Amino acid sequence: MISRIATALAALAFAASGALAQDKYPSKPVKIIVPYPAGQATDIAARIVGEALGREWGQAVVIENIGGGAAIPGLVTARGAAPDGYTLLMGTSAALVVNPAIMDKIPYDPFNDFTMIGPVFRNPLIIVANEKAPYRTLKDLVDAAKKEPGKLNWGYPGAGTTQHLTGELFKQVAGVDIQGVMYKGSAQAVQDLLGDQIQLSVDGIGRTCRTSRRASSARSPRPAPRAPAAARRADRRRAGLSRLLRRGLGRRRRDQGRAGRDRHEDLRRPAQGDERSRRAAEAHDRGPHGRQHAARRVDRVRQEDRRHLGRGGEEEQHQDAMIVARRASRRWPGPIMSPSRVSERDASGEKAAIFAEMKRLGGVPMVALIFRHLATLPGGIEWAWGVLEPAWRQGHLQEAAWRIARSAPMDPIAAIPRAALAPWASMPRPLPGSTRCCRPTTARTRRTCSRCSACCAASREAPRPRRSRRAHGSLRRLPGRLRR
Amino acid sequence: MIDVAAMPRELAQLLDLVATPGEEGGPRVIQSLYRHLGDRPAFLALAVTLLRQRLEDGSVERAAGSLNAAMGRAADELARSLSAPPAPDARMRRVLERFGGAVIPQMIVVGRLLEEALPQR
Repeated sequence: MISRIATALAALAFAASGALAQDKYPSKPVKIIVPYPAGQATDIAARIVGEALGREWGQAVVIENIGGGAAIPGLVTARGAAPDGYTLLMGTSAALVVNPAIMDKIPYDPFNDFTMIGPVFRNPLIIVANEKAPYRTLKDLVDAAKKEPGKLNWGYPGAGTTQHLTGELFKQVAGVDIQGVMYKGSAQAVQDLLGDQIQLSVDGIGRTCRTSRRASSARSPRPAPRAPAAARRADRRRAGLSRLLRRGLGRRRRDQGRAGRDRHEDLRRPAQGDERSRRAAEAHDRGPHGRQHAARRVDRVRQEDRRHLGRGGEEEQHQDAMIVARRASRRWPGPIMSPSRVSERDASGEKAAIFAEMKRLGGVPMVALIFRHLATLPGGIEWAWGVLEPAWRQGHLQEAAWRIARSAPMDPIAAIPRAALAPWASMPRPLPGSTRCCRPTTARTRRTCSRCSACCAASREAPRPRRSRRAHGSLRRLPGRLRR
Repeated sequence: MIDVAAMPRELAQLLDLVATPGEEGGPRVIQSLYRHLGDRPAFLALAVTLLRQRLEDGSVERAAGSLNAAMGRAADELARSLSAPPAPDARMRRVLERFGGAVIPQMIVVGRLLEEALPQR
């Protein structure tokens, strides 16, 4: 019953919201903060997506690079922006997942400060070697490293980056000793790789495939479109990367508001329609067939890894990047309170008439908080009523609300077992002064309950609102399948 | 329905666990459903305990998100047949977005969860 009331009001609220949405987002230029220097994979992806979003929205999308400091300065800047959706952030798994996991204190909270809008690209990490290096496969590399422990070295862009962790993980899994060399960015590491200052590097496939044809291991369940064929063959045969990091990087909370979801849809369109985006970013939606195919390949790779390395290898190692928006904080200091509202008793004149008509048409005993809150704004409830009245009178709102509520996807949520709520029947009496009795039958018959005289006395003073015949009639007008 | 101003401290602390954030620096929203249940604090405590895990693991929010999208589509369809003069107050948009985008979808999902867990009459 309660959800039925809420349902009706939800659709009403949204009808109003939809009508109001004529002032469409975005109405001014949007900024995307990239917390890395220009030219990196994240920056390239942001520029491709920004260009496509700009076309889609008809508004300029400006990319601002705030690099360095393990992406922290970029995230702090985004955190300080107004949470109005006009400042977005290219979040990465390194900034949003790895940093909080490995640093004691970071000046942002990835879960509460930002709203995740949608994935942008997945950049498989690969181990690359100089063209002149003698290794042809990853097995050659492992053999060489085992033969001369500590002689080989590899470059990575900064401590705690996904490249760094991937390299360390590879060393652990393969049981080899390779010397790590830290660089300010992957560009410098690649330069030294090409100059033969270092033998190996771990980096995203986008950058390294442009500079080197010797990608030793691209670990992805799907063939990466830009990886050389040899690397893809090598990929299928070797290396084991830990499931630990895979899980750590893979998990993220998608916390999206309505505007965020709309922007997510906007993100999907350019990715589907733009050939460059499609090539740059591997599509995430593979469908059931694609997933099965990937799972079969992953199993094959695991079996081969067990044969070569003696333990279970994992399917992929990659950087994730997603568009992120600033969100309002979850908790505010200060006393808990409800927003200002006009109570039904205090409403008079036109407001009271509108409230009464809303209750009658909606078949509900009280006016929803959203309307009582709107009534505090000058002309608010009159405007909402003016917009909604036709659809309300024709029953379209009620029908839509009913349909939507019944279609709510409850499957992903663990149901509350009925046994868990069983103790409620024997719970102590309600608070004194309440207008509801702890024993509904007693409240209905208005007899004093032996267990809670206080609330029953109160209920006599404040009779329980009854649903009018007309209200029942409005429900009866709904199609049968919706009434159920 | 329990009055927020007259709410006992223990109850306020309980509802603090599930209240929805409002505008930055502004009041938080205690959903009416919880206030309806507020006159049965023991039941409310049980319900909040059972709901919290589902609220924190994001599953309620995901379901509310899907619902929100469906509501947006339905509202767009309905809005075609409605005429909307400019809103008289710019704050209205924020109110509608806050309630329609977060509070109401979440409470539909929570309401259905509780409804399905209660014994059928």
